Amino acid sequence: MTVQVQAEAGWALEVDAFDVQRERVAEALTAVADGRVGISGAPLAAHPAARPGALVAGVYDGEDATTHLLPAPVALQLAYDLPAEPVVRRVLDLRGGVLHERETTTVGELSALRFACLARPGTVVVRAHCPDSAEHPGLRAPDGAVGVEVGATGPVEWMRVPASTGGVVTARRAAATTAAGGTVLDVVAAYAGDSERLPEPDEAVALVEQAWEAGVDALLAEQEQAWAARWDDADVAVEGDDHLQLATRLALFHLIGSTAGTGEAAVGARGITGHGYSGHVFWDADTFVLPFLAATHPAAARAILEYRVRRLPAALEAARELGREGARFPWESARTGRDVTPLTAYDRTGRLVDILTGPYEEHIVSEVAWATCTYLDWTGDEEFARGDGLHLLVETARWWASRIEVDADGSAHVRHVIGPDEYHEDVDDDAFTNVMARWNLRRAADAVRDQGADVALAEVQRWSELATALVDGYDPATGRHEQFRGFSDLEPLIIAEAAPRRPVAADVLMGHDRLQASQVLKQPDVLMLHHLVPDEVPPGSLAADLDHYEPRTAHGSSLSPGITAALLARAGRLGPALDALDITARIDLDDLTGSTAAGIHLATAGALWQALVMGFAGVRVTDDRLQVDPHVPPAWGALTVRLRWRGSRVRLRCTADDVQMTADPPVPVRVRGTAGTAHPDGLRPAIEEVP
Amino acid sequence: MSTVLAAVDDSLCAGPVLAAARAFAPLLGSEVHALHVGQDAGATAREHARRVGVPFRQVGGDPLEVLAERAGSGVTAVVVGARDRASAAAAGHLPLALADRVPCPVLVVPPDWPPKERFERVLIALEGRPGRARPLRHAVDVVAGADLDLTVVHVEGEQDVPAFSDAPAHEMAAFAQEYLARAWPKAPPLRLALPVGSPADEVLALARDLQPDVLVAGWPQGAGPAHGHVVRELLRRAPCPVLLVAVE
Repeated sequence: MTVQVQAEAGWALEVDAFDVQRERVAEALTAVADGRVGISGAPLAAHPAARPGALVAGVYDGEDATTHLLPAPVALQLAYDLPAEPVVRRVLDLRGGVLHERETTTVGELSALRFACLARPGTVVVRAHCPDSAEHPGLRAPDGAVGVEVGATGPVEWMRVPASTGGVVTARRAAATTAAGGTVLDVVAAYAGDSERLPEPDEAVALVEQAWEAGVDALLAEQEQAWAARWDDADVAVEGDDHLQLATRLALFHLIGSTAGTGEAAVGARGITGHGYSGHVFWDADTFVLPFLAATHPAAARAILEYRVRRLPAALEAARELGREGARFPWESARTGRDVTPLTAYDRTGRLVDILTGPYEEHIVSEVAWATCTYLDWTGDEEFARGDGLHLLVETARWWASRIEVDADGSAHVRHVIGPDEYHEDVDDDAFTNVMARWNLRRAADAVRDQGADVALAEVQRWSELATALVDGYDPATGRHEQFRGFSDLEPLIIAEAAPRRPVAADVLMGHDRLQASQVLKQPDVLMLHHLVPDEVPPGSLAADLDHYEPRTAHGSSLSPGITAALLARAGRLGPALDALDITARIDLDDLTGSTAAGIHLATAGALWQALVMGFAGVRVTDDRLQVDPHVPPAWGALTVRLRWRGSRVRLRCTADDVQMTADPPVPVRVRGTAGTAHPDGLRPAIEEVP
Repeated sequence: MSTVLAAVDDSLCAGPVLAAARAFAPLLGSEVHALHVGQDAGATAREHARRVGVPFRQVGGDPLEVLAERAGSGVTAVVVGARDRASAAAAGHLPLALADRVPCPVLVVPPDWPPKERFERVLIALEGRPGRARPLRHAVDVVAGADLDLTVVHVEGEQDVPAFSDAPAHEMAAFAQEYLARAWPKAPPLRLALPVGSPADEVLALARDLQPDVLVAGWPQGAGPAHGHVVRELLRRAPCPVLLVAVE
């Protein structure tokens, strides 16, 4: 086996230079992860600007707002240094899930490959062609770690790092052989992490021994097969835009690496590609990451939902503490499921400010329900629909039923919230929050009826009544929604005209108080309804809401451009849609936020997929049918999407004026409004009964 | 042992100057010496020094010339009063002239500063980005060793407003860490503030909010009267002592 440093077009991210200014960005972009462990793409030889590191999904240290992902031992650093002006070339092979590197160390040339085993989550492998036979360091404790234990079991060394509860054990085995031109070093390491108990060293040692027995050659072949299988169900090909193609596959690569398909998955805002946002779990996981996984690898989507299922007791308790019923899922959560949103933070001006998202941003309750239904719509998982999925729907509905206030005139309201547009705090009747609550109540009522669940009929009827009575801000006269009560009276500032450019962090540009008093949005709020629950908004209102709200949106959230691209594409406004898509694609590749060094924006990656698949390809699940209504720019030769829908492998190829679709086994579809069936050999327009 | 030279006179500044010098000197590993330049009685200055146990000397001559001459080897800082802060023209005349000539930092103490025994919170105003402000980095390294609460503020223009600012609870921490990694790889633990607007106004607004014990600012030595207007404004309006550090 030789180390490949050739890049395959459309399938490889090349980092040709070692730029001390951007090194940490490069390391996040080239991180490799298998859903359990994530390894930074730092060169194997040391340099002061590099940040080698490892994170294990779901293993946190600390309590409350300070809880954060526990830094894990570094297993892959070698005994070499890079010179002051390093020459390093890295190629991330997205197809095979392997990071190749070649660099000039102070003692000679080093080339290597590394990967995190998708088929054996928690196991990482290096094969390095070294310039000499130097002794290499073993496991390195993370900076600041306390209570570290080390030991060895035969040829396998291990290191155990405790967290406040639980911890990580890393085991490592290495061997060098002499080869022509130098030494070949094989390293196999494994990470066993647990958030509740400190793992035993043998748990990681056993993983290493199993992998070591297989050998690096076999592990590499296994890795390539595992990634090939995932791409076979998940690839999105954009013909005619090489930059977008690479950005898309890079986004999917990190989405795939973020979540293992077993147990529970605590998917933080930056996944396990970086320590940013402390690994806290936001709506990013449910709303932006899960749809991709539900449509390509349902087991991983199920693991995200399992994270919520296991924290349902904490959400129930949180609601009780507020004197309400049902489940009040927190805006930010980590190990326990209790709210870990910071109460204060230093903002960009250097001032300590109150953070209100924890107490006010309640729409996440509906997004847990939405994620549940998205998973069910794509998989048809009846066991989950009858069991834990039903519990999630019922308890989230109960939250809203106890949260909604009914006025004397019979109208129902949700007061004192923050919507996805986080620029406006403590508002009443945020359209997104209310309509999502309405949708949540109705879907729960449907689920109870469908499953014959043991919920009193009167309670379900109450849900339906509340749903009907909830105000949603829609004005038939204008054909659009008011974002929240009083929004129309705010300063009519159109940020598209007033700002020097967009996206722009309007909170930095204008300041908190001016923003509160103006019609400037951070990200889609009303428009997010059109994206998530298009059947809950009046037909035809997308265009009116787009006309009104898009120019008022600063897009100061990295979640914003992708969703905007999806909606603009659905509306057939392909020029602006492509502009928004381009920004989405560049957020991490070009470090547009200045914080990609802290990890890949997983929600942006998910939004990129949603823009392409739900926006440009127009894919939705409605009425137990896969609906396709594409809007493909003529500049693209074709947009090809691979999906899994209810066990069927679906292939969709769209051009500006044609749709081709196959499915094995066949599935019912609706293509541009026409019902039919997708078969292994293509579309058949006639409606057929599909077993 | 090195010396912090406290320039005291018979004005309202005598007490605050000595207090600031005594709070600052431990950070530099120095001891305080009080110096009164003038032919007057010097009773106020002498008595202030006696009360706090600081060695006192009185010499004649022009204050600027004498202080500049004595602020040579072995002197780590000169502490002077800002005698008249009500007038923009008069504010900091001696301090700025001193800062133009001496190799060590000059700490300028307002007459109405409520004395503190220790400096605990420091606000550092950077005119350039951290990577370019080498003398200020040295000043930061000095105060960093004393385990102080440090905030570095760099006021940006509208063109610097970032495109994105995601979750306020986390974004600045992630951004600042990488910002400092690029601009100041060996920065001590500190908070970074990047407000947008008028430099003097924003620094002073932050100073009013944070209530630092000392504000550090760069002074362009020998740049002439057309430069340093931000520092002049800070000297005139800062609610705390201002440490002037020479920059190129």
